[in-house]
Amino acid sequence: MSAVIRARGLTKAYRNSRALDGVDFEIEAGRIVGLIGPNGAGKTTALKAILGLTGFSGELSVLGFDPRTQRTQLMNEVCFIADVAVLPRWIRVGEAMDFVEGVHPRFSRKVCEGFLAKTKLKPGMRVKELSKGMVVQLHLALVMAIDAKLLVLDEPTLGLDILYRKEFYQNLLNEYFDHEKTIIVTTHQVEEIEHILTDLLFIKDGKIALAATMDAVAERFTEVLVNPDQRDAALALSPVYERQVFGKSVFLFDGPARVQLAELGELHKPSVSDIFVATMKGAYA
Amino acid sequence: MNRFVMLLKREYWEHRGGFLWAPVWTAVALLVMSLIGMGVTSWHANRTFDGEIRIGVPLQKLLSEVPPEDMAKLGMGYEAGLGGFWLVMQIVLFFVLFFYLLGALYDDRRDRSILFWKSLPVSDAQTVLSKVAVAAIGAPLLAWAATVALHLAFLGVLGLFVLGHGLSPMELVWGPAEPLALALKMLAIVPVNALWAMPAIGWLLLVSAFARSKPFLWAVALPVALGVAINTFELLEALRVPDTWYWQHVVARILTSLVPASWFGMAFIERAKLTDSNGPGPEMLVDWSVIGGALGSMELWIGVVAGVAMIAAAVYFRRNRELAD
Repeated sequence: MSAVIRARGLTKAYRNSRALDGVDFEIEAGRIVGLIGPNGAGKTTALKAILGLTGFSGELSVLGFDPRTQRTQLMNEVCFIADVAVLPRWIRVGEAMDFVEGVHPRFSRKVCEGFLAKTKLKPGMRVKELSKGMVVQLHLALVMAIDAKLLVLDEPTLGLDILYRKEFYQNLLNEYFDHEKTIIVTTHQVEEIEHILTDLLFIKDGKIALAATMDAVAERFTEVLVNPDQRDAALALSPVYERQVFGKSVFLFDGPARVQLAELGELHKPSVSDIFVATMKGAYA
Repeated sequence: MNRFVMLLKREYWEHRGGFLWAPVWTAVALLVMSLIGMGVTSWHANRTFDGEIRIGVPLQKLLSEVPPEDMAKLGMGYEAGLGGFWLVMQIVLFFVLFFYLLGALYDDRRDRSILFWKSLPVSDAQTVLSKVAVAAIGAPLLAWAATVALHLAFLGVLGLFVLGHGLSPMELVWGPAEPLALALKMLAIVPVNALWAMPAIGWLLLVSAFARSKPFLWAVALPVALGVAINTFELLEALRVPDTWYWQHVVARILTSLVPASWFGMAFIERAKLTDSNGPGPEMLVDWSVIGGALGSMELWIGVVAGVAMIAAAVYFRRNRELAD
């Protein structure tokens, strides 16, 4: 499998800080990658670099293009939803369709109209009259009607209610995603997307803190519910994180053999958010 | 090509209010005002002058005899009147274009919708050029069409008015007014205006692409402040260039050359020196030789070069500037 995105020493320096500090990573085709990190860790900068929206140093190849110099060609193959509120407020639903149809060779109007038929959107409506959730429905319909190789989503469901959020990811997974396509998504609501992700990319202080497939993560990390009397024994195995639940300790282990851990207490599959919290220790310190 | 047409349509959708409705409503307002004017004149005339109406010459007199010099006066009257309409329409167009250009590469950076436009396979150069095309040709053509419609409507109403007084609209209105020739001349002026306005189009787009906030202030205050500095410190005096040079050839060109036919200014002065009459009359406004003369002037073409350079800089900033929020 060839890499859709390959970054080597990707660096973006601002006047007083480094948003990205010599980052290396690769993303392969047919994956759904969660790019996850605390505020200010460099997620959005990384996405902007991938989309050619910001300058950077180091090497970065996206679908074989250099985003700095071949942006226009790249945009034939890449779609992105940068935020909830970026559709121009004056445009009408029908005009938005006309425009994308006119400038994008891979847009299918039929597909887009099919998606819109499932919503309350009508061609004559203006974006400024729509609710946030409806704007996202429109944006997603436009993007899903484009047969792109890479879809980049930066906090696509920020500020939406749970119904729209669920619908958004369901549509994406059921109607859009296939093995030819790659999706990169950043969000703070990790719990909502962890079941659809195939890969995790944690980013902390401009560096990659964890890069692994979901399967590998499930292999590596184990959560153990430990009674107070066993706590010292558990600490001896150097857990990566500890939290208290109902007087018991929940330890997160990176690595040690399951048999050994099973003697300490009940084993659980950790959630991505628990692994995230453990990995990001001290991120704001 | 198809893509470029789409970009032009996009501009039209967003700015329909300025490009279409502003000229249409201005034309309607002008027409209504002149109708009221006609009505008042007619009523007034009927009361006090016992039926004698003047449009440059006494109307009744034209029934029997039309001396050729009076007929020429009538033609000039029409030219001045219709030219006046044209001028008002063009001033409205100037304001529309000035603020359109200032916002063209700024507004979408402020409301973040640039992230949507940039998610599509359109190059920054195409985007900027579509805005140049709209400002230089598209919007002026719409204003031209509205002006022609206004002229025809006005002459039509005037024709009925004349007919109501038992006179021939062909002889008194449509003939001397020459609306078709005037429409052609106004159309020919559009590309000359576009070339002349290039420094202003370039400068306003450059500021629009460059400013992180307050583009209007950048566009106006920066050149003016520079001019004041030049005057104060007599910077150009040292180079034996008069202070006024900067104001006339830089500030005026980058800010006001969008004013329609501001290139007439030069031609007027040149012509006034040659003719020892009472100075140029309104007929100058639509003289073919003036239009041709403007195209031959060095100043126009230097401005075009400067404008193109600034447009290229605007493309650069469009490519590299980040959001303006």
